[in-house]
Order: sequence, then C-alpha cells, then structure tokens
Amino acid sequence: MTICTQPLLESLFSARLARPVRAGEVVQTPVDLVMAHDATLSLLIEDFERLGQTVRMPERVMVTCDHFAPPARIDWANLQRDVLAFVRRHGVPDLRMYQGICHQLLLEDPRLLPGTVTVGADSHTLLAGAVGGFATGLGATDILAILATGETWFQVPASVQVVLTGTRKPWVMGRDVAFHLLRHFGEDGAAYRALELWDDTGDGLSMDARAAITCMATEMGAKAALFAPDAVTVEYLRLRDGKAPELPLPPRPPADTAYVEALAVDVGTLDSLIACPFSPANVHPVREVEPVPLDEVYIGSCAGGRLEDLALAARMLSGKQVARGLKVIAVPSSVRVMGQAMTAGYLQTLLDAGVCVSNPSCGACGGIDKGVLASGDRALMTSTRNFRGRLGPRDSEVYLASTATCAASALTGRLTAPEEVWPC
Amino acid sequence: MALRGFAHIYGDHVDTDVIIAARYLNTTDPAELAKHCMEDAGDNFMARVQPGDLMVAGENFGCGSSREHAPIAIKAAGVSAVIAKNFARIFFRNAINVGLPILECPEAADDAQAGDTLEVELETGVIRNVTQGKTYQSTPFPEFLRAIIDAGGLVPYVKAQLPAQACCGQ
Repeated sequence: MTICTQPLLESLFSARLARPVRAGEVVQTPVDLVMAHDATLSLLIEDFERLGQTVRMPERVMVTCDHFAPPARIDWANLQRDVLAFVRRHGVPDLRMYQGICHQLLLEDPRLLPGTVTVGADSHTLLAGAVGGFATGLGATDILAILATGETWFQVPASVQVVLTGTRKPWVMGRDVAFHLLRHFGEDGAAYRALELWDDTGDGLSMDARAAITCMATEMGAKAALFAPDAVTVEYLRLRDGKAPELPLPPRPPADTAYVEALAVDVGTLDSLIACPFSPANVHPVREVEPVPLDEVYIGSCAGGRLEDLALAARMLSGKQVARGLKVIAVPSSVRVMGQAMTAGYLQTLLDAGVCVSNPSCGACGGIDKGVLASGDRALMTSTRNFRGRLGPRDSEVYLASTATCAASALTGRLTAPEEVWPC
Repeated sequence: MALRGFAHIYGDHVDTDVIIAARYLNTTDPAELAKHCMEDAGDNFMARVQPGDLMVAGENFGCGSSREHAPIAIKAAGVSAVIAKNFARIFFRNAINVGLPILECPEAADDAQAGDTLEVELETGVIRNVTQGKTYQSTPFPEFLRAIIDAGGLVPYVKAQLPAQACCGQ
C-alpha cells in the first residue's frame, strides 16, 4: 500500500493531492502549464469574454500562433487577429508568434518539468510527457474553464508499462517504435490509459525520439504518455535550462504494481514501419508494402521535423537530388530547431538536394498549408495522421513513416525502405 | 424530455477529420460548420439529416484531433444525440462541454439500422428503438458530469461556480 509501488502517474497525482490516488479516481487539480493555439483558442474567446473573467494565472499560459503561421487566407488572418487581441486584453505574457509548433515549444519550455501537469487545446499535447510529467489534450471549452479557474478535473488513467530494450538498427527511429506500439494497441487500444515508458535501450533514445513516441500515443487513444525521467532527461533539461534539474530519478516500480498491462519491446527486432491509408494504426513493415510512386514527401509536424530528423534527412540526401517532379517539403518543428539545423548546415544540404524548406508551423499536417494535396495525390509524410481527407481531397492518400523512410523515398520517388539507400 | 428521430448509422473510428475537415476550421459559426458536417464520409449526410435525428456509431467515435468544431458541427446539424459503442476521450469531454448529448450503448449501436426511429431519455439513459420494438439501458453519467450537463454545458457551469469559488493555487 505504499506509494512507491504505484505506477508513475498515480504517484504523480498522489504527490500533488498529498494522499494516495489510484487509477479510476476523479481528481481536481491545478494545472502548471496551459497551452492554446490560434486554431482552437479562437473558438473560446467569445464565450470567455461573456463570462466576464480574467485569465487567472497568465504566467502559466502559453499562446502559440502556429496553425496559421502566417495566415494564408483572410478568414484565418481574422481568427488570428482575434487571438492576438485576446492575448493583449488579458495580459498573457507568453505569446509565440510563428516560433514553431506548440508541442515542440512546450518541450523547449523551462516550465515543463518531470512531475508537472500540462494541458493543451490540442490532442497531441501528450508529446510533452516525454520529459516525465502528465500532459494531455483537451477541447477549447475545457481550456476556457482552466483559463478562468486555473484547475480542471481528470479521471486518473490506469497505466500500461512499456519497457524498451535492445539496440536499434541505424535507420530505425523513435517514430518506428511508435508505429510498433500503434500496431500493438490499434487506434483505440490504449484508450483512457496512460503509457509509462522506460528506456533500457542500448544507446538510449534521444529526447527527440521520445517526443515522437509520446506524440503518437495520441493515435493509440491514450490519455497520457510519459517517459520515466532518467539520465537522458536530466541531460536534456540541463542543456535546455542551463542548469541541472534537482529531481530524484524514480525507481522502477516492481512487477506486481497495478499496471493494466506490461509490455516489453526489443527495439533491435524492429524494421522501418509505415502506416498505410487511412489510419495511423494501419501499420506494416515498409519492405512489405508495394513501392508505389509518390507525389509528395513531407518531413515535419510535431511527430517529425526535430533536429534529429533534419540531421538524418541531411545525411541521407547529402550530395544527391530528390526525384524529379516530386514535391519534397521540410518544415522544422520550431525556430530553435531551425536555427540549430542552419548552424549545423543541415538546411543548406536539404536545399541543395532540392527540398523546399519552409518556416516552422503545423503546415500540411493539419491540411492547412505548405503542401496540401491535389486530387489523386499520394504522399509520404512524417505527420501525425492519415485519415481520409485530412491533408487534401477525399481521393488523396497519405502514408505515414519515419524521416529515414521519407528521405529514402524522396530520392527514389516511390515508397522506399531506408536500408535500400543505406549506407549514406 | 425524450429525444426522437431517425438513425444515421456509422462504423468504428469515425474521426474528427471526417466529422469536420480541417479546411473548414476557418469559422467558429455553428451553422457554417454544420454545412460541412460529415462531408468526407461521402454519404450525403447533410442532405439527409432532419432536426432531431440521431447518429449511431461503433467504437471510438470522435477520435483524432481535439477540435471542438466536431461536436459543435454535429449539434448544429440538428442531431439530437449520438449513440456509440464508446467515444474517443477528448470528444467525450467536448460533447458534454458544448451540450451535445452522447450515450454509450454497444447493444443499441449493434442493433440499429439506418432509418430506424429511436427515442432517448437523457435523464434515465433509456434508449428505445421504436422501429424494432427494443429497449436498452445505457450507463448514466457520473454525478459531476450531470451537473455540467444540467447547467447547459461547461461555460454556464463555470459561470455559476466562479463567484463562490475560492480556486486552486491556495
């Protein structure tokens, strides 16, 4: 009955509420960080003003302009104008104009720490669990209530323990681990549950790789996904914040802990995986999928487009040219990432290879801009979803894969497993 | 108060991109959103739906993005309630928050055929398939959610709570 035998998330809520909290309980809790972006914040402004309230804890709020970044249409410009007016009116200090995708900006924010509670008006807010806190997505009205009151309710989810072991093949990325989990859980197999991930892999997963996994936990239906804080976390936070975090690393809860499922994944057995139309959980090994010709390759979104992605894409495309007539687009996930990629020379390499490098934003992933599809187009993307019609007309098709698979396919113009063009 | 209407049947994993595609997130006007409700399902839903009709679906209804435009569009399309085997997590909260009644009832979802006349009593969770002469009991909401629904959604609920509330942060 001691607290240390609880799954991490239950320990987190137990610590916050100063009493033992178990899965299934409904708890009310203050939130540490609230994120809202231009596309969803615009939904709640009118209702919020009608309430006649102020933003209760503006220092805990992050507002991003990333979906319409910058607006490509007048109606989007109008929505963004309203968002900017809201930020001014309520004195929200943290406004990120075109600084990158909201989820990447949370990951880069010093307020995001292990053990914190983060909510965002966007489903992929789960990504922020990569550093070891509770992070989940809510709808606009829930966010409205949190802006007004500073707190919300959660039913504490039961946890699935996932232990990652083994050593990846050089072209197997965090994204492929996420696909493997999607194949295991399906589109709703982790519904209402939390994934608690432990990284015992040989070379350790980078924070970029972890973020790709926690991001895609959304597509498994999960309520949250968190990586147990470890040496990788500590090093990430030290570099990010300029000082080593003071946090005790949690011990691994024993096997008799109240997990609903325990899963071991040897990442050494994984090959590059791909999600075929029209579901992120329609997962197959790339080598078993017909090498269909492509019209577009897109490297970006909150599930790709980080420094690790751009570095690998640059390595694979260095000194080469993308296939003739193929639309190849890379969108760094934040301005910080873009700057680092620029300094490292990755962007020049991509530009030289014929890649269109665009400014950090959600871009084509939400079907908004920077590479939406034509009727009949077939695209390969690192983005989050491939539902029918998400990125273009109903008869367009999207395959989802890792940056390695995208870069390989950019060279050939057809679905290509990265090992076919390896070594590079 | 009983809701009554014809059933429109959908399968598993109806996602929010199908309910309202991102290309229509250019407005927050419910009537505008409703015009494109279920457009990518390709079944001419908006031409067929009549005020009071019900949507009936399988597993994981409303999966995908957190866009609250989805339950807003369904509600503004005239749909009185959605019955599904279960709902995606965020859609579940969003529907309650915008005042779109939702009921989880696998048996009713399995049995219903397109065009069946359905009746729903929200207070009791009782669902009747009038055409087939069958009655089902869906799980009632927990009390704190009923309080939100009774208040007419989360906004009026918060409005009622706020003046008295010594909020978090201590």
